[in-house]
Amino acid sequence: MGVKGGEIIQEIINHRLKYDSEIFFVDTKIVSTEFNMTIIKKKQYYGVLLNSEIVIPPIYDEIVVLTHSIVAIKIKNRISLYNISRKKTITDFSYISMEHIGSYWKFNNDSGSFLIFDTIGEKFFNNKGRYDEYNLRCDHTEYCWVRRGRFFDFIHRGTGKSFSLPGIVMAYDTEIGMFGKNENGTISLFEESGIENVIRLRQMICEAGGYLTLTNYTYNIQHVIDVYGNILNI
Amino acid sequence: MIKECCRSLSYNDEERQFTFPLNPCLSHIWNKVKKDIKSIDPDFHLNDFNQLLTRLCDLHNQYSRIETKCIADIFILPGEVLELSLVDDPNPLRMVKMKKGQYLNVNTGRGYSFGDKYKFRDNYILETSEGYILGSVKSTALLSPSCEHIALSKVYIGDYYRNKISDSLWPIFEMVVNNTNPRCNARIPEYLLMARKMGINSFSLLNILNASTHVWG
Repeated sequence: MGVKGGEIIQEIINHRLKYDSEIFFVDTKIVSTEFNMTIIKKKQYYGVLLNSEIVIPPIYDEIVVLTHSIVAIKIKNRISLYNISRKKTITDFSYISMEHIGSYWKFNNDSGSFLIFDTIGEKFFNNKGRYDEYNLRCDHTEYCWVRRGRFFDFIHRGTGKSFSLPGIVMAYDTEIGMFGKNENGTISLFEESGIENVIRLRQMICEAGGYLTLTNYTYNIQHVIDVYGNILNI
Repeated sequence: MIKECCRSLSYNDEERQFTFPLNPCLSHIWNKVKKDIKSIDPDFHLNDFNQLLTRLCDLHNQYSRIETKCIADIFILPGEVLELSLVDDPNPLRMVKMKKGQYLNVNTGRGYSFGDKYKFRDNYILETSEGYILGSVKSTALLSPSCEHIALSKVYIGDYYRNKISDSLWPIFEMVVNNTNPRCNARIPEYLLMARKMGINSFSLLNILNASTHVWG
């Protein structure tokens, strides 16, 4: 969103704040309560009440509570994130849509890029890697795979740290570990250093009875592998 | 290509081995499959086809060798093929793990027990539980089945990987050895069915079956 766009939004906010102060006599209605925050509505605009105090004045077209301290505020089809505790917006109003995927919210801006917010860890996913796709569907996995072009990397869900793996062309949704398929069609289990852990893979497959089934739920792919990482269900 | 080029498991008395033999009239087959193959891989030519056929004629040696300085029996699955190079012996010792601590010598059909706490290690004496010394190990390797075996297994054994690998593979060996007419192909379908139920691939199966030929009467 350009400077001019930001200025326009700020003008609208200022205008609405003035309007809100002028209609002080109009009652606010309670819309809903989440995380101890109450969404209120005055005329056609929304705000937030917390502990009987209006922490966000009712000047927004839409408000979505994401966590106990973060809300998404929308004005003229532009979305920003607001931190109730810090009493300020933490992004600009450059996002035009938002999607709820599992425990994540994805905010898309008009240039095609996006922001991922993890509601459990209350943090943003590092998108310095400029990934084209994030696997947000399977939030029970230790690592989230991400894709840039035809190659996959991983991000640790707990820390948000990203791991770039060499030449991985398919990644899998597993509770623990980073499983990836290389260009030769063999699947390996990777350490965060990027090195293959053949011993740990062997242990896991021995415990599983000789074969392991790996699934990528987004691409609807399931591969059964042997102790050498060979794909067997060809 | 596997379906077109190979017939199912059978015993070749002339060569004294179990194998998946090749179909005759292969050039006819190449002309038939060429278009489909090239739609997947435009760089696959007749020469590659011939090389594939050559590999299919030597399934015993279609594997990737994975060197390992030390591996414990507990981390080897039944059906895995272990190859040990021994000092003063030009012929490597190839064994299939049949059960915890128990292995089948592929070249002699003899079974060895090392115990389930055994570790195969380079530069160590290879000794069975009974005290029989096989030699001094120079190198240890696991043999990973090649893509030919993966494809053969899928076509002729089926979805064996949906079953956990059996704790013991001796029933297959015993079935062949106890067969009153092991050279006859009549019971072959049973071997394949048993391989599927026990969760093993063609590489493991062929090694077990070919080991059994050494103990036929």
